[in-house]
Amino acid sequence: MVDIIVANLRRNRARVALVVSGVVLGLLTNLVTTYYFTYMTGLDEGEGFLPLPADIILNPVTAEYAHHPDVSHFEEVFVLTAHTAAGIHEILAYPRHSRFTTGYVMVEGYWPRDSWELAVPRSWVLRSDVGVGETTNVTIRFGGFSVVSQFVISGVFESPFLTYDVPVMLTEGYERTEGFAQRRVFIEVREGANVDRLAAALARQETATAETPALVARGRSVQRWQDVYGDAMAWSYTLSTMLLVVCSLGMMNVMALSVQERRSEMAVLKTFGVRSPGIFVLFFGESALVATISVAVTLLLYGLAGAALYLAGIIPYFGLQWPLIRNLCTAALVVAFVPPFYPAGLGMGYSTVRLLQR
Amino acid sequence: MHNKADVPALQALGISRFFRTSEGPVAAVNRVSLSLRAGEFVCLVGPSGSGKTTLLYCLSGLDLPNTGVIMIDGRLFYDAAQRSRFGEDHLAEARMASVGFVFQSYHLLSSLTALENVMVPLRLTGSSRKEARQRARELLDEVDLIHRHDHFPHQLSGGEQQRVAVARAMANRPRVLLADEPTGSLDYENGLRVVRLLRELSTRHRTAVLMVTHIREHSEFTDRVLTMQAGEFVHGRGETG
Repeated sequence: MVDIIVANLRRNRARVALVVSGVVLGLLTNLVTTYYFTYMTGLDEGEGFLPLPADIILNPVTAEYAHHPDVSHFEEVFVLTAHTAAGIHEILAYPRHSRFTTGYVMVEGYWPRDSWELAVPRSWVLRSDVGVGETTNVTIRFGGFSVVSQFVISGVFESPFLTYDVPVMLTEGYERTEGFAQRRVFIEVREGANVDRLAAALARQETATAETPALVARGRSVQRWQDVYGDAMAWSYTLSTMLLVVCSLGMMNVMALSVQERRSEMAVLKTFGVRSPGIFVLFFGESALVATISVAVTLLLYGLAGAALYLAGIIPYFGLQWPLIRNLCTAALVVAFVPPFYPAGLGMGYSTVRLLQR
Repeated sequence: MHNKADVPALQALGISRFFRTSEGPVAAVNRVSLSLRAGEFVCLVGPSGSGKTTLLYCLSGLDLPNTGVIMIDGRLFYDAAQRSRFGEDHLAEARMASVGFVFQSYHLLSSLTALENVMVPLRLTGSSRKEARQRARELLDEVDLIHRHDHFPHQLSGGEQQRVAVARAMANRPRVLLADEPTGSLDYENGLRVVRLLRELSTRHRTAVLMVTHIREHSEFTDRVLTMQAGEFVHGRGETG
C-alpha cells in the first residue's frame, strides 16, 4: 500500500502545487501587507516598527540579576496579580521563549504612555469589572517576593485572532515584546538573601525606565502603528483566507475529476482482496504525504521569499511569524485532507461491483 | 482419499443471484452449477444480459450469490446458506490467494508502471519488494512485455495494457482466473493474442480459466464452451451442466 501511496504522488503533484501556491500566496500577502504598513506609517526601523514577533529579550539592566549573588534561579517569567473591585486576579505568566504577535486593536482609550498606565485586554475588563480611567493595584511577583504597584487603566484592546490575556505596560521590554506583553522575569532568591534590597532595586529600575522621555515618544508611535497595522493585518488574514478557499475549490475540482479513476483503482484493489480499511489507509496516507510535502515546500518558499525581501530592503525585518504560519498550515492540512475524502467516501460506501460499473 | 489432481480447481453448485425490482425479484443467475479442472480453459458465451458477468462476480466473491456453494481447490470459498460465516475479510483473503481477475477495461493503476502494476497483488500478499519485482519481471517476460516494464499505462496500447492486466492477474499463482470480456476493448488481432496468451498461461501454470466473450472464434482455443441464456446454462460444445 505504501508503494501505491508513494507512486500516486506523481498524480498528486497538482494537489501539492495547489496547496503550496495557496499557502505561499497567503504568506506573501502577509509580507506585502507588512511592506504596505511600513510605507504607510513611515516609522523608522526599530522605532515602533513591530510587525513580526521577536523573542522576549530581557532588559539588559535586569539581566544582571541573573548573576546577582542573591539570585539562585533566574527566568524570564513575569506574573502579574491584579487587585480590582472584583477580587484578585492572577493574570498570566509566560515562559521565556513565548512569542507574542500582532493583531491587537485598541478599542477604547490609548496605549500606556508611562509605566504607571496599563492597557488591558477586553476579556480581562469584562472579568474584572474595571474600565478605562480607573485605578487598579497590581502585584508583581518575583519568585519569593512581590511588589504592589498602582496602575491607571489607559486603554482596552482586543484581538480578533489571538487570545493572549495580559495587560500592556510601558517598560523597557515593551518595544521588544511589541507592546502586547510585559517583560517577564522570574527570580528565585537564595536562602538568606537580602530580599528587600533586591526588590527595591527592581522597583527602582521600573521607575527609571518609565521616566525616559524617548520611551514615551515611542509609545505614541506604537499607538499610531497599532491603528494602521490592525487594519493591515485584518486585510492580510482576509486575503489569505480567500486564497485558501479558492485553493480548496481548486482541489475539490481536481479530486472530482479523478473520481472515476479513483473508483476504478478502488475496484481493482478490492478485487485483489484489499478491504475497506485498506482503501481508507490509501487515501489517508496520500493526503498525509501531500500535506507534509506541501507544508515543507511552503515553509521553504516562504523562508526564501521573506529572506529575499529582507535582503532587498523591501521589508525591514523578517522572522517566522509562528501564529500566521500555524494558522495557514492548519488551513493547508484541511485543504490537503478534506477534498480527497470525497472520492474515498464514495468508494468505501460502494460495493466492488458497483465500483466496477461505469 | 482424493487425488489432488481430481479435485476441481473451481466448483460451483446451485448458484443463483436475484435482484429486487419494482416488478419483483429477477434472477440474473438461476441455479447454475459448473466445475473447472486445473488448467482447463472454459469459454462463457451468451447474449448481453444473460448473466455472464454476474456469474463471474459471484464466483469471485465480488458479488454474493443468494443460493449456492462455491469451492476453490477443494476448499469452501462461499456458502450462501451460511452467509454470515463468509464475510468481507474471508472472501478478500481467499480471493487474494486463489482468484485472479481480468477486466474488459484493464483497470491498471495509472500512476504505476507496468512492472509496478504486476507487483501490486504480490506486495499485498506480503512478498518483499525484491521478490515481487523478480516475479513481476518473470510474468512480464511471459506476456512478452518485459521491454515495456517501466512504461505507464497511458504509454501502452490497449493490447499491451490487457497483457499487463493478465500478468497482474497471474501474479499470485491463482487456482482460478476469471476474465470478463478481456478482448472487449481490443481489435480482433490483439484480442486473439490475449486469448492465446490466456490459453498458454492456463496450460503452463495449470490455472483454470473462465472467460466471458462474445467472439465465437475464441472457442477454438478453449476446452469447453458454456452458453448462458436468461441466467441459465444451455448445453454447448463440451458442456455437461
